[in-house]
Amino acid sequence: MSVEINSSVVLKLVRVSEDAFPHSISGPVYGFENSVSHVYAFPGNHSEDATVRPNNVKFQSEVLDLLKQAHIGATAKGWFISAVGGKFLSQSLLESMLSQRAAKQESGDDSPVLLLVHDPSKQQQGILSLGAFTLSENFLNVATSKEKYTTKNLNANDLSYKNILQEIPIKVHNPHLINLTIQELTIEDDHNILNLSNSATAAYTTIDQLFETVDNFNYNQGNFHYYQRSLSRELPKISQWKQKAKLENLNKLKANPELTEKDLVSLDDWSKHIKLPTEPSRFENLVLSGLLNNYCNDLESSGVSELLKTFSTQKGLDI
Amino acid sequence: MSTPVLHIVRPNQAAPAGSSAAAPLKVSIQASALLQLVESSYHEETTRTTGALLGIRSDDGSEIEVVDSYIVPHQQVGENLTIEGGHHISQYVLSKRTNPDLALLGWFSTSHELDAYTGLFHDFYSRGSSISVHPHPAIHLTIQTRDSENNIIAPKLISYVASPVGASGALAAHLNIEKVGSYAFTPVPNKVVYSTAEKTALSWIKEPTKLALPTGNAVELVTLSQELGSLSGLVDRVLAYTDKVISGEIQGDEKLGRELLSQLSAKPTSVSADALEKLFNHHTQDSLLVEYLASSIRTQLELSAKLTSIVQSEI
Repeated sequence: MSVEINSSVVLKLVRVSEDAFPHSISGPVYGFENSVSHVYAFPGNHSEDATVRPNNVKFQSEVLDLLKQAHIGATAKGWFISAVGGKFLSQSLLESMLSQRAAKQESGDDSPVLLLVHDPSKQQQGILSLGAFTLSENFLNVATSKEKYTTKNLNANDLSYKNILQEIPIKVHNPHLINLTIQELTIEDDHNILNLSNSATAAYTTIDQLFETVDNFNYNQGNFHYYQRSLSRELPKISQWKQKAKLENLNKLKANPELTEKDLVSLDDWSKHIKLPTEPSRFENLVLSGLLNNYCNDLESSGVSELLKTFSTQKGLDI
Repeated sequence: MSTPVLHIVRPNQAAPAGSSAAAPLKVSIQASALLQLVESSYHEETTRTTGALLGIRSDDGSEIEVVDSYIVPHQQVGENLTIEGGHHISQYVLSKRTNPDLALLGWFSTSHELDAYTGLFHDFYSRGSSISVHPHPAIHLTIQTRDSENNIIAPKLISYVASPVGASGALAAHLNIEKVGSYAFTPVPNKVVYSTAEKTALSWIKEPTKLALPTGNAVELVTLSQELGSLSGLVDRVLAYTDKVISGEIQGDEKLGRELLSQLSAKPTSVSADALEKLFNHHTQDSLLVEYLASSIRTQLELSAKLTSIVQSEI
């Protein structure tokens, strides 16, 4: 599966995220089947919950109505979001992707909900960083199941922070006339990417975000540890109870060897007497881990290319 | 059939009911808006697709920059032209909500011919109902995608300003000779402008081989290796050129020679080699530190996820 994006959409997306940089910007994208042909930016501020805010949901459907009025065959495909260093994953975003998918399926449309992610800081370095994502099967299975985000369920569905989203390859679509237009333009290449330390500013931002997320992660992990501690206090009680039940059963059997299984206390009945603490949802942990993973990947890959440039320049200068 | 265009020397010499503000003399079109405009010529309409142009106008109104556009449907039945004003208004309000800085600048058409309808369209945008460019004059932009033999050509954009001609106002109304939609169109120059980001994106998608974008974290290294490839291509070209000059095949260009010489002595002289080496080593160490930080956090993360799932699965 791949997604086709019109070059006009690529350019507009790049432009609006550049204008909003260093702030993030998001908005709905529209298209037909596996293509994206129109993009709009949400009005107002673009914090994490942009895709769920009621005003924006309304905006999204208003745009769709207007497109239909102008006889443009397009349906809502999802959203785009501009983010530095992979800072796009959030619980509210995943939830709105889920609810849009549910709404789509209700109307008989089985196409996936797209998320286009553009990194404007890379653009400054001369790199076109645009990715398309959709919710992975694993994530969908967990999110739509009854048990939701318990460790057991995550394991059963093989869901980890690495596969919440699934990346879809992007093909840029240049209609003939657009191609002619682009070829007419004289674009000088300034080889920005070859400059040393050009990723430094972005790296500072990402490291800051990394630290903040590590703190959030630890806080969340603390809650989970609290649960684990109270769980470990309860676990011995179960074995104690089982021991007691076994003894009782033995005594009963001694008194009356005729008794069948039914009359004895089942060892699995412990749950009726002892209540274990419920496991807190692992959703936040999943999202925070995903974010950390994004940041680390980003830092590592820009670090590799920085080292590559440094070494070769140093070699070239013979020092 | 195109009607002859009347050229007036200064487009902003106001005619009786003309606009008071000066007409723009410099029109810039943002690259993203350009692609959007060209794409609208694919939109199926009987004769032409038209729509509104949004953008930014300089304080004195002499320079404008086209940022955005949208299609406004219309019907053309015989002599009658109906433009869907309601659609225009809702689109305008919507665009304004996203970007309050945008102003209505004028309109575009995918028909490059100026005909009787052009004036009517122009009237709609200049003096239109609730939203119009008033008090500024509207600009008109045509997108020509076919030549006179109906062959597809590289899209040609021409921008016009217009001054109303003919009688208007109270006297004309009294004499019953008032006509709507009479304008003299004068072409004004336009140019395409791009931002750094648009330039990067354009230079990427210009090449047919790069249309499939790299995925994952490969993008950085892929771009780097491609840029290095194109740089080494440039070096090869320079080498081939100098070889030809040396062998006497062609006459060398002095200016170019000096330029090359200055590039070759690019080794910095203001810093000593020792200091430079130190700087480079520091930089390498900084980069390595970031790498190390990232990879150790990632390892911890993986460990934490694995351990949690082991501990929890034992219950």
